[in-house]
Amino acid sequence: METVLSTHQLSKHYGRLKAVDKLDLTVPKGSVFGILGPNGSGKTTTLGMLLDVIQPTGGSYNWFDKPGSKEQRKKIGAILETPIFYPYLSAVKNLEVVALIKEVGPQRIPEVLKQVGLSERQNDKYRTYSLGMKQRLSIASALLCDPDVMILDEPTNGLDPQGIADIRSLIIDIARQGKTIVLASHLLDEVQKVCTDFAVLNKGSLIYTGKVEDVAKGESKVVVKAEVNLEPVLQKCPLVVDAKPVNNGRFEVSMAEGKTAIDLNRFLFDQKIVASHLETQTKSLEKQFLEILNQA
Amino acid sequence: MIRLLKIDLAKLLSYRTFWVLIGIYFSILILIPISGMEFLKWLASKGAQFGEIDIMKIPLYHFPDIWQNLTYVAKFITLIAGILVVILTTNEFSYKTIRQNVIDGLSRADFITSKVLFILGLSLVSALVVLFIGLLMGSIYSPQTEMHYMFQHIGFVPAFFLMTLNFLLFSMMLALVIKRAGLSIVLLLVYPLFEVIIRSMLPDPVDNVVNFFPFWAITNLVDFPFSRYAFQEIRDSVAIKDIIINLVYIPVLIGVSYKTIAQKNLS
Repeated sequence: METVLSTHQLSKHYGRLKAVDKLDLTVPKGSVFGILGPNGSGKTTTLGMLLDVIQPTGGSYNWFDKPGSKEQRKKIGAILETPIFYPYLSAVKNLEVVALIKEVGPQRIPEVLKQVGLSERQNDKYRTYSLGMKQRLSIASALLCDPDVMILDEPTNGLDPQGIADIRSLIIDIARQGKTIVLASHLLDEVQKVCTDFAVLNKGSLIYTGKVEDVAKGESKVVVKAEVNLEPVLQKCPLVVDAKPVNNGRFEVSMAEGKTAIDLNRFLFDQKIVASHLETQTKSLEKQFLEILNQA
Repeated sequence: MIRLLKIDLAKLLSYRTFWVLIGIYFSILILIPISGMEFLKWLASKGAQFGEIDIMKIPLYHFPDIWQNLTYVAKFITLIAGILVVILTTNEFSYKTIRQNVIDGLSRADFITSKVLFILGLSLVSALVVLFIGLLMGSIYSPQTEMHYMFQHIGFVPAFFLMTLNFLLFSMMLALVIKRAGLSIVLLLVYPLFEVIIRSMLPDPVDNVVNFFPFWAITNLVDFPFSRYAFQEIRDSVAIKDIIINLVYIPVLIGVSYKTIAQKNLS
């Protein structure tokens, strides 16, 4: 598997504060890589180091197996924290500056503005834009060089629900073209919806990294209720790893590996018991995330 | 190189403050020398006296005197261009656009280079404007217009270019160190005083060290010319020593500018 980005023991210390500490990350090509973490966990500092605006205290990073350089940054579409543009320039003029820096022609400017839905306001000054429009312009700017890698830091911050949905489908569209996306977010739901891989940072350290699809795997939990007391039945059931009462006579059942609610239902029926409530609990990233954070 | 200059110009050409300041700068640079003679005529008509001398008889605009007179007056006007450079530089910090420039693929050295190229261009245009005004006003008022007189002391024009270049580089450096427009402009205005105070505090011949301080070195290129009309000795040429000091200052000012952002976190 090709690697787009790898960091090795990357660190940034501000005096005694370890903003990022010995971070080892690997971003595979074509993935949508979510960097999750609470506020102040070092997400933006990490991205800042990868984009040369923050000087690392130690460690190194490679883009496409080469140390970072300005030539590589020209081929990366990146937005960090809040959108930054010249307030007195229009969207088009701002993108012209970006195009000159990235050494790409201005031909793509109308196209990317259309892609983010800013064409109508393209000649208005940036300072007259709403936060949502500013956010869209920064995504347009990141798309300008037709990048192989995009770095998006909280891209849906401050957007209305429609805007959030638009940006998410845009990200999924871009990923479908085979581009790699690194997405920092504290919105778990967002990462679960768009990402293929994710890493969790806390207080500057990497505490988990894996695939989003693996989150849903593993033992599943089923909540079950019947008119009779289920406890003795569940205790002796071979499909069940653990069963604990929750409320109203319901039991939360941890199923054995590979077993699901279907198997439990069939088992109960064979025991002449009819369930009045049967519900599979999907394991959300949120739960997983909180579990990971609590363990750390 | 051309691309880096284009980047800086792309930031400026739709910026109203830029056009206002550049307009004021060049208007004053052109209008003061052009209206000078009319102003003297008006003074004379009011019966003003310049010591024992008739104002109208002073060869202010005659070749070759005009070059030193003109560049001496013009050097005060470059202060406006200095303020412009300070504003353009500190803007990049207050808008955080320097950070976005780096993210987009500009190195810190590229950033400094693009600003230096703009300053170089502005200095060049300023010097050309002064050259043009000198030739025009000299041709109108000077009794001698032979080549020999015209271009004697023309060396003050390239000296003015060097002076403007270094003063604007100094302004940029100050803006990069301070990073805030208001404070930088105030410091730009009061800094000369600081050198004067140091000079006055140091004993004689040690105080000559101030000749090597940036502001003194820069302004020293063109000496005060008007006392010659009161029959005093003046230095009516550009000193080689001053040229050398100023040539050394070019890499120093650019180097310090680069150093201030080279290892810094841009946030």
